[in-house]
Amino acid sequence: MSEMQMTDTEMVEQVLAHMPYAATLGVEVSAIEPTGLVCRMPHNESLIGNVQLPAIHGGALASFMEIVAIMETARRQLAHEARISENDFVAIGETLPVPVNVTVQYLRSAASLDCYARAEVLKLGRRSNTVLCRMWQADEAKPVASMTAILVRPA
Amino acid sequence: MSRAEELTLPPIAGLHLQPEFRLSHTPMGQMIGLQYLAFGEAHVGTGLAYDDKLIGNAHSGVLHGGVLTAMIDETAGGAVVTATKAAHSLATVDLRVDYMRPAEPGKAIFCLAHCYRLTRRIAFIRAEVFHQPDRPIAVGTGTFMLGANNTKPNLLVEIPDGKSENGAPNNEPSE
Repeated sequence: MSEMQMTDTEMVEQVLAHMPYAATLGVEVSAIEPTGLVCRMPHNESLIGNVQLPAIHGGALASFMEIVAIMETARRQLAHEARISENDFVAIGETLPVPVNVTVQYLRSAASLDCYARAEVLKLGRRSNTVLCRMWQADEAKPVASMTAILVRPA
Repeated sequence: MSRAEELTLPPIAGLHLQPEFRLSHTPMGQMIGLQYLAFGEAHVGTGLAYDDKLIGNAHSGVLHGGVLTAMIDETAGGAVVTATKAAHSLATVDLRVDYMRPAEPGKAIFCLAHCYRLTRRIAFIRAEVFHQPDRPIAVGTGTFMLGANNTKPNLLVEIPDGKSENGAPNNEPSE
């Protein structure tokens, strides 16, 4: 790896810093694994969609998974490209993957707990990328929601 | 929370909606600034002012796709409650959203959701997000489950007709 190239951790943190909405939801990097990226969305009362259960809003869960899907796709794309150097704000902004569509399955109600999501790029392509994202809370074996996202490089 | 101005849903050709302004009842809806703007028999229209904290790419200033998905989820839930005219608890089962073009930075977005089919347990919805109705920014398709839990969604969306207590869902299509 050349000195100019960012580490994976620097790269995902830079991508995260390009998404103000991710900061609004409180999304943070949890672990960078060989097969995917894990992020955490700490519990926050403003994420609630059903105050009686209470349950986190489906839109917050979908937003969280889409953010992690974008971050992991960007990491996998940028890992092949040495031209992005540290603090190259415009370069990262111009190369952020753009979602074409997302499909979300809601499997269980999301309680007032921290959320975790792991995104895995199923296909990294020249034109389009397919990403699978799983979201859970206390027990990873009991997913709360899942998402398939198609993302392309910006025009 | 910053108070955005009250938005007005652009006219939708061939559809009569009753204007009625109301802020979202959900904490998440309030955080993104979702406003209920108009109600029909099985339609709900909402709006959202542009806000820097909802940006998905700081370089372009375009709103994050997740904001549109959250808007569609809540607006569609409102359309289901409006179509059933009863306080069924709701859970989103699945939702697909196609992003047709980026939202223009600085401009408010609107969402029109339609509950086009109701069965006893499942409601089917379609929704569009737009600046102007003939140019969709995002199109959503989804299903909701009725009676999924014991909560009453009229705390999330008030029903304009007032018929709110445990009515049986209509088995007929809503149109």
